[in-house]
Amino acid sequence: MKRPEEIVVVSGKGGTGKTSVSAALLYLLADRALGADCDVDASNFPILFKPERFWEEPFFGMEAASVDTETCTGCGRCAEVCRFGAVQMEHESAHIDTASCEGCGYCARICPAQAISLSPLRTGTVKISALRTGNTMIHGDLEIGGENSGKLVARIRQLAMEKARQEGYPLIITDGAPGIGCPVVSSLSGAFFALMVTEPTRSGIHDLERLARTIEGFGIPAGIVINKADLHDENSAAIEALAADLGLPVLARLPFSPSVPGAMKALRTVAEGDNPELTNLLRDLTATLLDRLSLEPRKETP
Amino acid sequence: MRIAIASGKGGAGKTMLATNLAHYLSRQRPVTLLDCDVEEPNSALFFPGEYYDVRRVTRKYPEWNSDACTRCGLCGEVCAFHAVLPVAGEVVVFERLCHGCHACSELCPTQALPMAARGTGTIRQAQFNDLRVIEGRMDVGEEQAVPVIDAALGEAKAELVIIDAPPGTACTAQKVIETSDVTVLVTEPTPFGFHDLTLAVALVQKYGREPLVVLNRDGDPYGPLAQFLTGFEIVRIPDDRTLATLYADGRLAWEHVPALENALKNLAQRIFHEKT
Amino acid sequence: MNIAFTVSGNDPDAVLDPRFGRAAGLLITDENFADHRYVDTSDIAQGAHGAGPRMAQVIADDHVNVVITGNGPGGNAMTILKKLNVVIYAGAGQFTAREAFAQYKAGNLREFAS
Repeated sequence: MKRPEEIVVVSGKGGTGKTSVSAALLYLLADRALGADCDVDASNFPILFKPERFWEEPFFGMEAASVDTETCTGCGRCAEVCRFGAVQMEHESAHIDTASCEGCGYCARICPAQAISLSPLRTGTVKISALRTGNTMIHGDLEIGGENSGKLVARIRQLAMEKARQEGYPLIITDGAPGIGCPVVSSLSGAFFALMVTEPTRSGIHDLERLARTIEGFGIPAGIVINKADLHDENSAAIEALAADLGLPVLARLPFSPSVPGAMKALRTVAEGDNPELTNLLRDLTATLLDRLSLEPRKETP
Repeated sequence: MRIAIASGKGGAGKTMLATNLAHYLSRQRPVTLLDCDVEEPNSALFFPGEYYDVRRVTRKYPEWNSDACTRCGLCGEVCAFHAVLPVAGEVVVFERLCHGCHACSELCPTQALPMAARGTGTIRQAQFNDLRVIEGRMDVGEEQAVPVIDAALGEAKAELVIIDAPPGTACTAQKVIETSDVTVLVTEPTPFGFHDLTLAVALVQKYGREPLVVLNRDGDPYGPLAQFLTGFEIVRIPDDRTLATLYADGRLAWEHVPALENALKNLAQRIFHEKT
Repeated sequence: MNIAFTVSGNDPDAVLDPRFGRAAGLLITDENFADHRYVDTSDIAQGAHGAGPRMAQVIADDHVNVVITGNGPGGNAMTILKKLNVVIYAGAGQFTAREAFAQYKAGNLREFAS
């Protein structure tokens, strides 16, 4: 079987409509697309799909050191070598502050009594849910203040790829992580197409440029959606010019629509709102994307 | 006093509030606005002017000395992050994967991996009358934001600091919230805003504090959010087209939008426990 | 000479995995596509960081001379591959290994630089 394709929706700046666009695409392509939510800090993608969880597993992120206080001789070598201030000496024994520990393992390696070991920390949960649209979504939560969402993102995408193969989905729609750092790098590596959602604000333009430069390093094809395009004509024109400079196509220009918050409050995607113009533009966008990927609907696996 | 302006959800109005609040307060006293959203710093867009670099943020990483190296391969074994890789008779160092633990460098039997410094971001600042704007900016292509955030936090020594925090509830946002005296959470009346606010509130409460909540784009209420907010101190900023347009232009809005000025006044009173 | 394809399983007639570092495995063959063997790299694909360079290390260990893949490796992996003088052909993500080999022989694949 052909490997499933993956469209990752990203935005750099938050609040540009990344998740709204991801949800609209997933709704319109429900006959062939599986959803993956990589915005694990703020897992909003499932909210509009009435998810019913049927599977979950704990997620173990980075490793952290722990000390066997019985074996520890209190020599303090570990505290000397730790660059992250994660080891404190108390009552003749070493103690690890797991929040500061980076899991490098230096302390464990040099401990003369071999009293330190490394074990993975639980930092989140991965879930698979059935959606009201009849398809499936892989999503996850990061524990509050949890670290290393990059690895959680990698796990969600890997599960999405496995599930898509098993269930015959030719396409994955991924709501990518925000920003330009570690989690977004994890959401993008190896994707087929990056869809950047931006808005005509000074901040939006600034962040789009930084994001585009980040994506450039991946060599994956990309396109731009200008959301709320009619909110500010001058800034929209500046985005078009920037897109031309970057050699990126503008695939859709969506209008600012009061129907958007309304649809969301009713827990529907914006493609289901009462603005037919917006729905049609989103349909055109899915057609454009499908055209690039040439995908058939999913064949139900028996 | 450090006031973090944070939000679980990106785009809720964090930068709008931080920039306008800092400018508003600077009319009464000296204020520092510190942009810790180092992946996508935008606060300075609202204060165009002469910025100068305060310093480069650097991190340490190992540098391979071929002549001293015996190709024993211990460094590759030691590195938990696959940042040091002995391959094809050489040792390749991937600076961006390095966490700076020094293990390879200090355990190398022939000192063939001395640590060197490398830039990962810039701290810059500008002064506008009683307002100082300091920005932390991570270099594009870097993955680890926390060291740049740490450096930015280290530069803000003023009496009153307003911080534009990173969005979300991961380690980056945590870094800023744990070092602040007051956390203001910005949200909007949508299911997404509601969901992310509950996470952000839990993060603030982890430090034994209660956040102040600013409900941005207030208008048509979202029932579950309204219910959740009973019992919180809330300041409301109404949904306003002029405000949205001024923000899009990269301009401060409070002097043009009376409802925003009122909200800032209200928020300041709650932050400083001032009587009306 | 050894030619490696980035694949999602041990099947010369399955479509390639276009990714380099996070491919499930490598299918390694000779210059005639006569014989092939499979190297499972799924543990690398599941790691948080450094998948590209670790895959490049497998390429070195298995004495691969030519890599045929889809998107093309990232910067970290390329640093090593260049040192190894491995030639990379990208843009074969839609072919099976067998088809990609024919395209390679016919000179239809582009060499990946940078």
